[in-house]
Amino acid sequence: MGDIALRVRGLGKRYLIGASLDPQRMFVHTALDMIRDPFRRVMSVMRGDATFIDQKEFWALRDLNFEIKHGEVVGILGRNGAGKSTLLKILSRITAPTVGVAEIYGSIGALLEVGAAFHIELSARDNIYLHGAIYGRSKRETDRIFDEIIEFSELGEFVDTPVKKFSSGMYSRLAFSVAAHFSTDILVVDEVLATGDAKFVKKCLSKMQNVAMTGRTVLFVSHSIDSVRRLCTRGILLEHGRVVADGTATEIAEQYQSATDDKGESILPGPETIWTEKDAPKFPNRNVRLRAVRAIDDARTARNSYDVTESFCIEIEYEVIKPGPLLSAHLYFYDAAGALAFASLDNLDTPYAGRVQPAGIHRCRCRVPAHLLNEGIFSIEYTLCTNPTTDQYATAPGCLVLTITDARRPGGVRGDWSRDWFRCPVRPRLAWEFDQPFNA
Amino acid sequence: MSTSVENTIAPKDGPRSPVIEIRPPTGWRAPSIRELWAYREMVYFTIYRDVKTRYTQTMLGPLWAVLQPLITMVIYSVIFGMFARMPSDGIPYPLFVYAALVPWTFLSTGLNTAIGSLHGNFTIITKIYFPRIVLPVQAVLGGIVDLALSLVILLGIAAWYQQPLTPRLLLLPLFLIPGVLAVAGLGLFLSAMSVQFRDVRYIAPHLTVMWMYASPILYPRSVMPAAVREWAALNPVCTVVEGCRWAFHAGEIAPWPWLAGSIGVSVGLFVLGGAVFRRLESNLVDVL
Repeated sequence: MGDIALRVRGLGKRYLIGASLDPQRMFVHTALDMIRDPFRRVMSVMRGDATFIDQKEFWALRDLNFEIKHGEVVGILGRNGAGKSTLLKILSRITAPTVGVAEIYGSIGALLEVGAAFHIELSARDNIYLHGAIYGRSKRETDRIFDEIIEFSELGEFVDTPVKKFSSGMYSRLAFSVAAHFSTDILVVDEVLATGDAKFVKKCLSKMQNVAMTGRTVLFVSHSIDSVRRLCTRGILLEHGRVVADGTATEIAEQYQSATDDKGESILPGPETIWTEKDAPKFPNRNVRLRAVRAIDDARTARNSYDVTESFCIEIEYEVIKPGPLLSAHLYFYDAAGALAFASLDNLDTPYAGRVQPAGIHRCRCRVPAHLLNEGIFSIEYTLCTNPTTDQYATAPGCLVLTITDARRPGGVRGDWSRDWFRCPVRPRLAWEFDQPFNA
Repeated sequence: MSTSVENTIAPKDGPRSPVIEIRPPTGWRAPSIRELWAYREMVYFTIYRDVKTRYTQTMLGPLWAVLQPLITMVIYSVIFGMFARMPSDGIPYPLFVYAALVPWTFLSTGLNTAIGSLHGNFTIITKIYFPRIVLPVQAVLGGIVDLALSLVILLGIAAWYQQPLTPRLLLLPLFLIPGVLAVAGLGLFLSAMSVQFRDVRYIAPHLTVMWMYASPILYPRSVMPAAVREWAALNPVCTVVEGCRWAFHAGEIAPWPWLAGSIGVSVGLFVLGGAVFRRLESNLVDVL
């Protein structure tokens, strides 16, 4: 076909971010505004540009221009906050741009979370029609592909069973089948947002590669340079809401890997985050602030890539400005799909019980053993809260992003298993006991 | 949504025009009936879903649809009919109040569901595109099956009190239209505003109560002070309620000019509410 599937001209999106979220102060301010000039206040809310006290504007996307041809599979790369997800949200019409135009030649749809619109009390049949209706398909259109969906998902006699009674395998077969059959000319895939089932996204993408690649245009957002390199023909690199590079997937992936930001730092999240006094997450009462978080190996070197056979530590630092109630440090490990893989608290092994933390800087390490994490990308959230009330807390989601690799070193959990390891967040070393001895 | 969907079929050899144009929202436009029509099956299927799942795991099931207004009717009949001896234009008070409660329960439930509809469907809104107007409209129409069941009971009560059942009953759906339009308009306006200002959700139940007492539901319009009696007929709910009673040969209906005025009010509410909604809908996700 070779003609244009998508044209973006001067696209921009502005957000207003509130610096002060003290609701009472905001209420007084808003109320005063209302009394002083009610008409203008209401109109500005209507226009969607009402500003609240201390609000700042922030351009998530600015002056984007590009064209995508039919059949291209385009990977969109960029670090957190570069505007990738905003771009996809605009293109899939979840939100509107502030300026500019996007022209789409064909139907467009997002491949998202498994069965986002499914209702568990409804049967598979009802869910398929409901899904079709939400995607704007008529009953007749759905009728046409209904049998195919059922056949493909191998549900057979369970067509009229409520999906809450399905096994997870049946459920995901149905969801996959629905997603594969209600396909659009242009498919938008946000691997980062597709929480819950990265395997599902992979399966859809490989199906697309095998079967329906002809004329299928795909926009693919991912943290994983590997998936972009493997699946895409072209790459677009975003930084601070602008396109900074556009080329083949391999070129862009390399550029992304080696790219640095304006301060000369790598644009991939580093193995260490240190907060200044100003930008540190702190308790609302300002008694405690986070200072730093880093991933360190046994030689105390900060790194953000580890082999599955390696052990490492997450080191956290915080400052108690005014001693108060008992504190509890939490670390949450999220997998690439955004699902919480596990969490860990500091309440077992520290001199914790019943003590008030004295003022000053505190540092502690949480050891992640070898053979725990599976290969993949993990995002770490560092939270500090009062315990047991949790009414004061400070949190830093995504403060570290770690890559766990599998170089197939000896002594790993995989043993002599030579095929790909299984897709799951963890790969623990578990003991197997045998009743009968092996006879040579 | 801010997007204008044009399903133009371009000439084969010429440059094709875009199927979807995504632009910033501009200007004020009336609610897009065309978009709503294009997604009518979504309205249908989501109502179907809600009806099918609403009373799961309740013992009495769909009976609740009928019981709710019936229980209210008994309470009001005892308090206002027996104790306070509220006049009811010469017809039995239970019939008088139930004929009004049936459409009012439908409308007020619809309004309250509509106001919460954007918050309630947050997960779908942030993931899938569809004209957002579908949600409040679906919420307003969602009680239609309950309404139908309650109307059957109303027929039974009317028969019990030996009211003649005449072809007037066929006009009943017509009387519901202004009510649905008015409630949809308010629902669109308030649901969009509730995203910006959560306060709306707290004040909404009070607005509903005020609206109920401002409408001749528990009392006939004839007991209102003369100064407001006629103007009250402009209230679309008044038209619905009186129309419903009139269809059952109970009470009176406002003269034609006032009916026309009330229809005008409801169309106005729908257009205004829809315009505000359309203005705000494309950025809902950013605020939600």
